[in-house]
Amino acid sequence: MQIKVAIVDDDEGIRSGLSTLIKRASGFKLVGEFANPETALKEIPQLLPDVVLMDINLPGMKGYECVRRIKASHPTVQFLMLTVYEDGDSLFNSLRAGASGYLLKRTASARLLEAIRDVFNGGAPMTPQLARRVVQFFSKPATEASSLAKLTPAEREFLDQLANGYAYKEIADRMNISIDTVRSYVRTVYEKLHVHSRTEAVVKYLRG
Amino acid sequence: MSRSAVFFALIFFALIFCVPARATVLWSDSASRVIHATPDGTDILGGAVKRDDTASDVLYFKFHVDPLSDAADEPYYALFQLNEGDTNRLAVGNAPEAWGYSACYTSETGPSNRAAGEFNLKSAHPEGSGLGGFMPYELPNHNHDKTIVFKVQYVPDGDDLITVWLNPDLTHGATVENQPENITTRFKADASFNQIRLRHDGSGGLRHDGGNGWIFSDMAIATSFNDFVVERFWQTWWFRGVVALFVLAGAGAAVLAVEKRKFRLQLQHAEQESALERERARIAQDLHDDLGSSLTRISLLGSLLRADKDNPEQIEIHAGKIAQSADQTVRALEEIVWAVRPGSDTLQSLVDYIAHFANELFNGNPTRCRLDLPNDIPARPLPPDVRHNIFLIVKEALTNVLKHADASEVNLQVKVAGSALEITIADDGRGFDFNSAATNGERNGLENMRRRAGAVGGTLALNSAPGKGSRVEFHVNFTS
Repeated sequence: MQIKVAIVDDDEGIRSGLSTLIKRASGFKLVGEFANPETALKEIPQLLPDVVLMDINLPGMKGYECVRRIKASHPTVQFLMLTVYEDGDSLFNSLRAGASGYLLKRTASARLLEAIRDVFNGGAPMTPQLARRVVQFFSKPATEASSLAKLTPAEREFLDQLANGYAYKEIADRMNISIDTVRSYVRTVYEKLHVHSRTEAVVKYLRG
Repeated sequence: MSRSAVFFALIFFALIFCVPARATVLWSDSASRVIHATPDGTDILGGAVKRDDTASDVLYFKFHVDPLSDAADEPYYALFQLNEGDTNRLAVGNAPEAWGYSACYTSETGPSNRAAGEFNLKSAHPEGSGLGGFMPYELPNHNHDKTIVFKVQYVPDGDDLITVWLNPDLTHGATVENQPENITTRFKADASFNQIRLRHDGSGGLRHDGGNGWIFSDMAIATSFNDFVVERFWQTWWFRGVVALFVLAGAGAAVLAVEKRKFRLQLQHAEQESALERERARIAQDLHDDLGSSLTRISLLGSLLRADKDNPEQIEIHAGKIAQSADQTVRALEEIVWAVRPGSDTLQSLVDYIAHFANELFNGNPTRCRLDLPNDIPARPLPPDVRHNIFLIVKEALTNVLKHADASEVNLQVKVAGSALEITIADDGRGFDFNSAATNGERNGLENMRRRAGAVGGTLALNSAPGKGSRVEFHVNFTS
């Protein structure tokens, strides 16, 4: 079973480096590589990759904007944002737009492939930084959008532990739950984030 | 508006304020004179004021009388009289035929007067008539002295318009409009004059001397009714002068204060700019030193790779080092980007970056990094050098733990309370002894931390003992 991967990055060196990596790895198939978001928007819906590696900083349209559009019509496509720096705000915006996680471009190849596999299998990586931002986001005063999806106390607890630097396994131990439950918390938190962004988009649209 | 313009405007207004808000008294005589048996009277004006038939302005006359002669001494006359030479003009007081306060030598005769050219003055205290009503005049009585004020509206080539007030209200705040009608008498007369004579005599039979006369006092001629109104002290020129001086002094002080503040702001601004300059210089230095050397190293390793292309082991080693160097370079660049990017001069940004740095540093390391950060960080701007110094303290402390502590867990705690910031880095590792021969690098590092803490106005506390872990506490109170 081969994971279909597409790459969107305007830097030629990075693009060729990553595509070589994917092509060489077993269990992965490179279905497309794009230098600009417009072409990606057109072709990705037709190619339907499983995971897209998307540069967060594209010329013209922002990476997460591209994510938002494709996710709107093809929600099964998963996105991993590629970034040089760990810029918390941009990354959080990507999550809200529908990304499933991010990767530093300088990540060693083995970890890269592992992350892609993880996302494909439904896992979603979350770091302490992002966890903190998620908590802050859900703590903001209620808007019509935020009333739709709130964090459950367990999810909140999980995020707090994550923000404090505990690993999934440790959190599972401390909360007396299985690691699968922990992973499911991550998924639902992401979904709630995406609900927010979808609803906000709708609200914005309705408001005109 | 320039400072001096404001100043002069203030002086101008102060001076205007000083000038009494009244018109002019043209002549006055406060002496008391007993006028008795002076049928012709003598001029007391001495040419101080005069008006002839061409005049068209307004004059006000005032005099005070204590009438010693009263009804029992009638008939008599007692007059404050305007004269043109020997010609009798308007006179006010007690006319020869009339028995009450009256005027004579008037151009029209009063409705209640029998003699021509005489005009009874209306009074607030008219005599009662036996018929249960009032006479249209008041009889002079030496138990009641009076002030008489009369106004002349000069009409060129014609009869002047006269208004007489019998005992008007001259207390502070009185105006000519406020005088009640029942003391106001209006008629026409010729009031041209170049003399004022005070006259008294009996006007009846041969042996009648008209009583003891009248005492005239407090006489004046002015251009406004208000000149006769009692002046309160706050209307005097000297009082106003003092007030004006105070106002000027106050204005001067205010101008000085504004200037001082402006100067202080300019100074602050200049200081801020130089702080930014220093930050830029620092960044330029770091870019030059650290990154220059990192990239050079990578370049060298690249050449080594080429040279050792047939040696897989060496290739492995070089490649590993290249990856590592490149990694470090990106991290250093990230730090610079954070420092330079707008919006990072805040406490929130500092805390975010410290958290990010800690996570990165201990990522994949056996030492677990725990974070305890506040959820709500108040908005507080931080000057770039303060931000940088605090970050470097934390960086040094964490790097020490990573390299030397061999700890299983390191705890980074940030607490914000009001204007106070507290950062604690505690680990359960090897600990160290200050006095033991720590390497120069380590000692320098600790010194640097203390120095940086002092530079931002904070304190640094180090607690450690061999085998008992260590604890670095940084505390600062922002004073604004």
